[in-house]
Amino acid sequence: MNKDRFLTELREYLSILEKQEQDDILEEYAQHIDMKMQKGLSEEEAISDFGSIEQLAAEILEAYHVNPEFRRQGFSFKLPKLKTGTSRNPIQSQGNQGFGLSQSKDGNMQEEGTCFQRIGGRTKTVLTRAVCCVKEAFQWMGRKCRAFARWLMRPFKGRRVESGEEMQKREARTERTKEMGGYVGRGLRAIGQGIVALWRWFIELCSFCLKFIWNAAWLLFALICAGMAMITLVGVGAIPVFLVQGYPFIGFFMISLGGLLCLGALSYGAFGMLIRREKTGGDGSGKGEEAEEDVKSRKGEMAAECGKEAAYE
Amino acid sequence: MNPQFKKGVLELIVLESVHQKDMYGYELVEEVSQVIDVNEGTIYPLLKRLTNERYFETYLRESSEGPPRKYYHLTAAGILYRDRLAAEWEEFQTRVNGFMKGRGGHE
Repeated sequence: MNKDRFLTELREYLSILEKQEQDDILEEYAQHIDMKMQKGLSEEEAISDFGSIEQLAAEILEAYHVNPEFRRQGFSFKLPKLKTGTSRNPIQSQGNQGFGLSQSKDGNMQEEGTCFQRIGGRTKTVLTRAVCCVKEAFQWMGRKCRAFARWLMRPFKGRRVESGEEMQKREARTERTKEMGGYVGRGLRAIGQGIVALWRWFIELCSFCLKFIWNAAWLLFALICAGMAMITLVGVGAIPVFLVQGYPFIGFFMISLGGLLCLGALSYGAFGMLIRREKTGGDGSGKGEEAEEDVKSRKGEMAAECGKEAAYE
Repeated sequence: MNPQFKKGVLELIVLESVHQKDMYGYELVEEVSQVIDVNEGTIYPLLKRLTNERYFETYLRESSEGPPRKYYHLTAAGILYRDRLAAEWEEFQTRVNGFMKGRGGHE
């Protein structure tokens, strides 16, 4: 082993110490080796006189009251400083160093333990909170989904209720006719009523299908419009950025703003076109008309605006 | 020689050597090596510890050959410490010797 390698290895062992202290002690060893070599010893011999580097490093560290086991235990760098600090008090340095050291080490370990416990406790509470939040979010989503499904099924349910009422009425009627007619007439009537019931059922089914398709189509249209409105909203958001960078995008900005408002109004109108159970009779149709009018007026406004913009450009 | 004996006495020998005159590391190692056979490496940590405990002061002095040398000088606290150690050693030595002689006399 040559001198440089010896010194670098020793420095590694002494990495706990401050740089200045390392330099200080290594300088002594370097000089010692140089002197030995001046006296005619080889580099190898001079270094082998020191014995094992690890043991030597342990002795040096002991001089600072640093636990030589430190490196193997892999403590953080805060602890050795703490130790050197405490070991400088004269009571410990008078003697019984080993005991003092082991005590301080245990103290540090206990501190670490409580620290870990604290961290553990904190993470636990945070985790439980997070789990609760996720659970609540899922519950909320479930509620919303159920509400949406119910809303979609409203016309369907409404039909059913009505048909139930009608059925009762019909039953009452048949009971009345039962009392009146003879056997043959009763049989014919039963067949006729059956046909009528079938026909009604068929009509109801058709109307339900029509309504369902109508609703689905409007919903789809509304969703598409809403999606496009969102895209134009992004455009509206992005264009000021271009504007700031000096692009003359004012026209584009107005167009996309107009598109956003137009599409938003369209989607709103489409939602309004959906047939719901609440809208019964004239009231419902009136609302629908209102919505349509609203949409029309808005469309007109938009068109006017677009025209203005075109003129602007 | 028993390494435990050496370790205890080494400190006294170093203190005594520096008490007589200021010395630099290698000089001290040579001086100590004349008295007891000790691993040369172990003297530097000892010097370091005694310096940390304010028993030694150090200063640099140019040398005719090579780089400047670090000299160790005994402080007032160091002298007191050296005196105390020397007294302890004296007492310890006489007691142990007396015990050994006494035993030898009986036999």
